[in-house]
Parts: sequence; C-alpha cells; structure tokens
Amino acid sequence: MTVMDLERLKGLRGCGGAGFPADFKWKAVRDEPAGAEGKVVVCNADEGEPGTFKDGWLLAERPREVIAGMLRAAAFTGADRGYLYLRPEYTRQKAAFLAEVERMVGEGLLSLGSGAVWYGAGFPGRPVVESDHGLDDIALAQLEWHVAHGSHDLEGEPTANGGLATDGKLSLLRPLPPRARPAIEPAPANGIAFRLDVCIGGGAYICGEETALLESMEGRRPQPRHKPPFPTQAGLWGLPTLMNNVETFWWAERLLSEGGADGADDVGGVPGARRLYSLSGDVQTPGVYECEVGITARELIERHGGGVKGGAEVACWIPGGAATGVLPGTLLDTPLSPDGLKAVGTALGTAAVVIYAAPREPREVAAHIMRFFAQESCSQCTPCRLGCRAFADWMDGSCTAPPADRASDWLEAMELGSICGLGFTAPLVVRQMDRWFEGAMA
Amino acid sequence: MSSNGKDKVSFTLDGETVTVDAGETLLDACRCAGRPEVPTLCHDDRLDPYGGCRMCLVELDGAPRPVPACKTRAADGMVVRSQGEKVERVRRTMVEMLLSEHHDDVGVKPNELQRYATEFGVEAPPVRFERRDAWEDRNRFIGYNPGACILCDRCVRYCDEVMQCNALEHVGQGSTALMQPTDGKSFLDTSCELCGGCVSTCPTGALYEKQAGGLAEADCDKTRTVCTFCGVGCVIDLNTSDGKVVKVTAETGVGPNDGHLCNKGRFAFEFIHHPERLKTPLVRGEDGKLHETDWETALDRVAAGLRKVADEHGPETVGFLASSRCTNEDVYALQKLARGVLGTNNVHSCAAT
Repeated sequence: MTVMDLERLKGLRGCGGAGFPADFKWKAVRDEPAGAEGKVVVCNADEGEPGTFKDGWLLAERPREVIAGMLRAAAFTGADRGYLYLRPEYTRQKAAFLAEVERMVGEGLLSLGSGAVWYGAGFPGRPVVESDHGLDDIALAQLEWHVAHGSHDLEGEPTANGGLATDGKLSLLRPLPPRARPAIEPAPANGIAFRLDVCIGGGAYICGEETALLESMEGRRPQPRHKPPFPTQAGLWGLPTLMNNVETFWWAERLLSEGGADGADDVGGVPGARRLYSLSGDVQTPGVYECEVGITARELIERHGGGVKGGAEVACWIPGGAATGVLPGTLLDTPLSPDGLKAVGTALGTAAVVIYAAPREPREVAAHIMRFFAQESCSQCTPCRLGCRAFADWMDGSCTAPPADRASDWLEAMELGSICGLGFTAPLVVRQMDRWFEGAMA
Repeated sequence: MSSNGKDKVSFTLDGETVTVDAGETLLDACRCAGRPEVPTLCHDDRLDPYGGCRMCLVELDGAPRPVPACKTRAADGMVVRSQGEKVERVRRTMVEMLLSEHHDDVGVKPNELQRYATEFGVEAPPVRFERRDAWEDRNRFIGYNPGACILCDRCVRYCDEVMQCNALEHVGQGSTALMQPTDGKSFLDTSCELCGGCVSTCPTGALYEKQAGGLAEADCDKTRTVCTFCGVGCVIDLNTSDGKVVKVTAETGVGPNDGHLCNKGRFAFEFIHHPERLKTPLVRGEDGKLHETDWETALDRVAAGLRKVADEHGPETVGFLASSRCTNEDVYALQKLARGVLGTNNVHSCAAT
C-alpha cells in the first residue's frame, strides 16, 4: 500500500454528528508513538441518532468500501487491529459485513482470524434487542415518537427501551469481557497485517458516543470518559485509537482510491462536497440519498422524497438527527450544510432530515426528543441526568414550567457542566423551540 | 513525576502562580493554595476522581467549557479560576438540580448536599421528581433509602476500589437509574462484607446505620478511641446518646485506617451494653461454681496453676494462645512470658493464621 496523500482528505468532516475534521484524527493517531501493543482503528456503527439510517444502508449494501477505508486508515496510522462496533439491531448488516470480511480474507486482503464477534457491555437491566428481520427501518423505529409521529407504517409493539420488536428475540445479554487480544497473522498477500473483528454494541444511544463506546467495548458500563486524554492518544485499552463513523470511512475510501470505485470521481477532489442524507418522516419516498452538501430541505423533499405526504404543509422538520432540534416549515430553503444550518442556530449533525407534516405539533415533537434524551442519559453527570428529565417534564406539560430565570440557569448548567455531547447539546432543542416557535414550554 | 520528567508543575490559580507536585489535581492544588472551598459531592479522597456531580467545576483557559477540578490534573502553564460568577452560578444550579431528586426525611447523617444548599442559599428547586421506591433489606446493619440518593456513585466506587467486593451497582440509565446491591438482591446475598464503607462515604444519608435507630449524628456525642477488635489500632469515634453507643464512625485522614473500618469495628458494638457481658474476672470456687473477683486474685490463681503444671510435668506441657484482639506489644510480652519465664516455645497467636 502506498503512502497516501492526506491532502485529499482535507475538508472531510466526520459524518457521525460532531463533524470533526477526519484528517486531523488520522494525523493525530499516525503521530502517536506505537507502543508494544500497537494502535487500533474503530468503526463506529452504533448508529443511534433518531432519524439516521445511512450507516445501516452502507454496511448492508457497501461493506467492501467501508472495510477498505478502515484498511487505508490502518495502513496510514500504523494500526494492526480494527473493530466494527455495531448496534445490536443491525443483524442483516452484521451478516453482510462478516461475509465481506470472509471474502477479503480469501482474497488475501485481511489477516487470517478476522471476523471474530463479541458483545460489548450495556446498562445492567436493559435488554439488548436482536432481530433477524428486515431492519431497513430500524433507525426510524427506535423511538416511540417515530411510531407516533412518523408516517412509516411500522408493525409491532414498541419495546420498553424504545426499540421495535417486530418479531425479534428479546434477550438479556450479560456483558462479556472482551476476549484477550488475539494474535495477528502476518501480512496477507495483498495487504497489511490487520485483524478486523466485530463488537456488538450494548444497545444504548450513549454507546455511540466515542468514549462510552470504548467503555462498552472494554466490558464496562457505557459512561463517557473525561477528555483529555482523547481516544487518539489513549483509546481502546489505552492504545492510540482512530475512531470514525461508517460513512466517514466510506468517504475516505472514495476520496483516496484512484478514480473512485463507483463513478464517484466527481467527489474525488472535493472532500465534504457530498453527504448521505437520511430522509424520513412524512415524505412519499423516504430513504438514503447522496446529495451535494448545501442542498436545501425543500429540494431534498421534492427531488428525492417525492413530496410531502398528502401534499400537506410541513409543520416542522429536523435537519440532522434529533439532537439538532426542530425547525419551522418556513426554513425549508435553508442549505443543509454546516454553515447554512449554523446560521439558523443548529448543525448538520448526521444529515438525517425528518419531515413532520401538519397537523403534527412541533412542541410535541421537541418534547419527545427531550424525553428520549432523558431516558438515554447515562446518568453519570448531574446536569444531563436531571436537566434532560426536567425539560422533558416541562415541555410535555407533565409538570408546571419553571420561572424563566430558572430554566435559563438549568440550560446553562447543562451546556457548561455536562461531560459529553448528549448533555451539552440537548439544550439546543429547547433553545430552537424558543427561537422559532412560540416557546418550548407550555 | 510527570511525563516530561518534572516532579513539580507551575500554573496560575486565581491570578497567583502556584507550584504543586506533578499529578496533583486542581482540587488538591486549590486546597494546598488555601483557596476558598471548591464544593464537591461525588469526591472522596479515598477514591479515584469521578467527576460526575459537576460541583467542582472551575474555569480553565483554553477549555471549551469548565472542567471538574477533582478530575483535572494540574499542568504547566494552565490558567485556572476556581471562583467567579459563572462557575458559582453553575454550582448553585447543580445543587438545585440534585435537590429535585433528593428526598431527605431520614436525616441521620451530616448531609453534604443540604449543607451546600444552605451555604449557597438554594431554596426549593423548580421541579420535584418522584421519590424512588423504598428498599427493604433483611440485613441488620446497612439501611438504604433510595429517595435520598443523588447517584454520586461513591458507594459503588468504594465497594469496587477499596473493598473490591462490587456488592453495589449503578443500574439503569436516565430517569430510572439507581444504586442497588448487585443484581437487586439483599446485601446478604451479594459479596458484601458488611464493612459499612458505603455508609461512611454516602454524602446524603441514603445509606445509613440501622442500629442508630434514626438518630442523627448531630444528636450524638463522639468519643475518640481505638478499636479493640484486633492489633491494627483503627481510630474510631464512638457515637453515644444517653450514655449508650449507637454507632461507630471513623474519620478520613486519621489513624492507620484512614476512615476505613471492617464489619466488626463498625457494627459489632452491641456487646458493650449486653446484660451478660463479663465485667470482672471469674474464678472457680471450692463449690465448683464461678465467682466474681478482682484481677489480682485471678492472676495469682492463673500463675499458681501454670507453675504447678510446669513444675510437675515440665514446661513443654504448657502452651499459650494469644487472642487476635491483642496488640503486637501484648503478643510480644506473652511470648517473653512463655519463653523467658516458663521456658516453652509453645506459643501462638490466632492473628497469625
């Protein structure tokens, strides 16, 4: 494998929500000295942001490019182990991924032994949902509010933890300690010495947070770590760890491979010019669409979504996953780009656009998002655990709203005092309601 | 030593240059520098920093948001402000938030949360969450009132880091998270050793001593003494009310035990007031029954008996067994008696096993 020109990745922002520059992470891990235990590449496939399902699609349909992106990252950083941290509901994706690993081992691209599977830890008492059924809609299905407010005709009963048990096995899995790091076979015929295994996630939203994910992989309760040290310095088992989202690895492969594998040469020179948008909600044809960054929500709905269901007015919409809050229908012409959305107080997040047609109530949608955060808080830090819970209660009217100064102090405490992104971005949902609608609280 | 090989670091704390040992936390540094108290709830000096309660947030130049002083190590060139309007307002809100889930009606222990509430002038929080279900536990010593718990994790971490028992766990998440004995069993059915360390570290009285019968620590007199259960010499405080011991506590940072106690030291004090407790020596009279006497008489009797056996049958027929409640000095004196006076090597202490 030749030395790569990292310049070609410049401008690629992580696709997992935070939008961190990918080349920065790659460089940071490359520059860390490799100890005796080596370095690690982790692909974050715990796709849990409500409304987001592009990683699930990629793993099911394009696993080869995702793995190739990980291999490039490993070659570049000097890592010799890779892990896919996969959300447990993605059983179809697991099968597709493992089949691809097997093929690549056969082709001499991955080291022998690749493809071992173990289970990461979750929250004690919380069942991990596994299913063998069609799961294209699983990311849509994870929230009660999607069942109540989305237009997908989902079958089955919502489970206690917000998942949808279509006919899936519900099993309580005890966290298993990660297997002792197995030996890595020498470099295969066409590649580098790189062992690629799969860790099935602990079944919680917070497991998608990179340090909580590492805790889960190491067999502990998935509570985010304090940073610094950053995972690039001390990640999985304390080793320098490069963690990217599935889509980020996929883009990296497309940007770095000569010519592009699937006619994607047009993006070769312009990292970050295009994204996979997950479009769902009240549109005729929801799905994953690759579009240029900066497309507006209206164009997305009309060009790809087949229009709003029943031609109804858009009551509100979510631009980039639940954590990016709710915007009014009047802002549908906002460019879906980091800058365009920053101008209206939010972010591109996971590029998951959810459309809510009238007569759905924006406040109800926002209250459901806050309830979701209240349930999914790992409960480690005070402001996230109690702040999300209080705002969920205040927004859905189950208790009297507080005086404005108290609410504003509580938001501030969440923004300044939370340990991880769950807690310090949750107030955005409230602030956006206050900014664009008649207020967050009844 | 820090990674750059230095053993001291210098940084700016509230406008003054401070030099501390490399590896010290900002919390330690604030204490060493005599800064006003940085409030903490999830912190216990005996445990690894946790950084969950967010009470000790301080401002650090260059950091995107305030950092927890308990969890952040001092480094060269840092610029830190431990006080200030912003962090003080956030700390106050943290207290308010914690009060929203804290239902303290037992009031058996000094309540660190309530103390901060009073200090910061925090009155009723704007929301009050439902009280967690009561916890019944058939053990006799450790009481648990989940309603008062603020999930600081101190008990769980104590049980893990100090005792390595893992008899307590933090389960669930979000609004249903709670502390409980592992797997939701009684303490007696877990690996709990009933050391009561969790009780000692609990900042709110959610974990409390059942024997104290709801009596608040403030209503007790404390008498500092040394535990007599073994030779370690743990420093303990007997908490008494109406002249009766109701519980035993130990102060962190004092004595060889640093606030730790074993289950005997903390909970096994009921013998003190037991009606059958022996208070004087007993010797057997000619009537074959035991009679109370004084120490001089009793010891004369022992000496005479030992001497008689040794004289008649040789010193090897005599042996000494020391109780594990004896101190090192006691045991040393006993083996002197055995070897030097009686002339036998038959001497043993049960603390040796």
